[in-house]
Amino acid sequence: MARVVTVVRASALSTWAGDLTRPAPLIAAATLAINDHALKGAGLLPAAVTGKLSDVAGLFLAGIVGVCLVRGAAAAGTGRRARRDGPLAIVTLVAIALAFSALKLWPAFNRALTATWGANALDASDLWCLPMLALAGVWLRDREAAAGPANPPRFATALALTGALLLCAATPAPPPVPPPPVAGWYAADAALPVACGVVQAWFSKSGKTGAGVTIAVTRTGDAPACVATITAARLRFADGSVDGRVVEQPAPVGRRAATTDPRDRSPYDALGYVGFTFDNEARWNRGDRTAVLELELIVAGEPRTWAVPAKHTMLTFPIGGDR
Amino acid sequence: MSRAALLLLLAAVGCHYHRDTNAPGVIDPATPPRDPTHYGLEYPGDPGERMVTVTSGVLGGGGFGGVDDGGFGDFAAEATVSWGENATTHNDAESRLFMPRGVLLPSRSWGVTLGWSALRLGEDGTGDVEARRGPVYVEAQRAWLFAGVGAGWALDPRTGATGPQVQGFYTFYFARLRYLAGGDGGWEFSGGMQLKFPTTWVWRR
Repeated sequence: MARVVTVVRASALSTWAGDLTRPAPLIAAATLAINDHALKGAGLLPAAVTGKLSDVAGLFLAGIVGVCLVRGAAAAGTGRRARRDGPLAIVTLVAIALAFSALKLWPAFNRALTATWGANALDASDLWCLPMLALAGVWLRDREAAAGPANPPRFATALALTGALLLCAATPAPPPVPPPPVAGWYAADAALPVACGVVQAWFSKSGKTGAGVTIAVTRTGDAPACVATITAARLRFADGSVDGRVVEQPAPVGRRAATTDPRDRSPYDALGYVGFTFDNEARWNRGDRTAVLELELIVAGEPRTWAVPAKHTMLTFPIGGDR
Repeated sequence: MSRAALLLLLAAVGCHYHRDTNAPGVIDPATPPRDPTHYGLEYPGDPGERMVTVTSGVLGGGGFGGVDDGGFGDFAAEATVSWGENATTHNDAESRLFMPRGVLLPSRSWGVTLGWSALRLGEDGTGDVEARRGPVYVEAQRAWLFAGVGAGWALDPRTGATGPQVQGFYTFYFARLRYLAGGDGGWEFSGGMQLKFPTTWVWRR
């Protein structure tokens, strides 16, 4: 009986990427797609589950895709077929594990990748999913042992490879998680009515080395202009006061300027900023957490003095919101 | 009284507690906020966090060497007090599926471990299993999240044998090498699993 032997080139697409048409990577890809683009944020499953499911399915798929790509590159370079469980494959899986660990542990790396690729949580507990790469390695080893000469159709392989690459790359932004509470100065709804409008002041910065206050002017509808000048600013504590430095006088921000993008429109007519430099951390630590913000202004030619009670407290974000 | 204290201690295991020391974040007050029109406080830069962790629990496993050349079972109790830091402040609102929400560990820490191999099961020379008390030990520890190494000194109060020991651990697994001079001492190697839970007090840097 004559034997028909099919000679398949090592660099042929179906030789190095044919594994992606197998059920296991297809199920992983489907899981990743459904979880990332349907389950996350839908409220059907807890965020903790959907967050880890992507890592579990994604790492398994990324391991197989990575080895496929490296085998393809090796075949193109050397003309020979690299083993799925050979040194090249192991190095690839280890490299993926290292990159994933860096993404989850190294803030600078996470920031860089987040900026270019998409949001990814800096969460050390995601490292529990790393064994999925070992599982991918075991699966590839079994494939190496079981693979016969028959390769899947080139179209199916190309489709599977494209889909897997897209799914690995198109990670959706996770639902926003509020940051941890932080200490900050707060003055509740401080507004000063003036003849031409309203002056508002709020703490826009607060930290270890001081605080900052934004002063906004909103004119009433028929007032032609509402010009404000900050002549002095102080934070008065029980044991003394800190003079503020006017960094920016209230300057027009073009609330009524013609613009097509609503995000460019400011709800205020003029904004200014005063910075207070002092050892805010020491005051916080010794429990000195109340003050009075004293502002001396000239609004529409009229001098005004304004005292706003303020307190330093733990704040949960987001607070306030755009007005 | 001591029972109440023990219950309180057990209730605290696996929890973390926030202290508000150094709570303000990092800012430059001389610079206006990035979005000057935003009504409210701009979230400040993250100074990271510091923590003191008391990790206590039990270890169980086996080994060989010393007087028990044929092998021994070893069950120990340990408590570690460590001081560590995280470059990024943890966020209780983030999901951590495979770690209890209360558990908080430093990414880098130094600590001191006090341990006691409270139960040592070995052969008594006639083929029977003999239960006895093993060495107490104290170690300096360097840890990185779930993994760490320790080095210190062990003393077997039963025999008076004493000597150095080193230990390494990763998540639930540990390995220990010890040399005891005098008495029934000698080299011994042991390993097994540990079940230790941290209680953490955390504050910002």
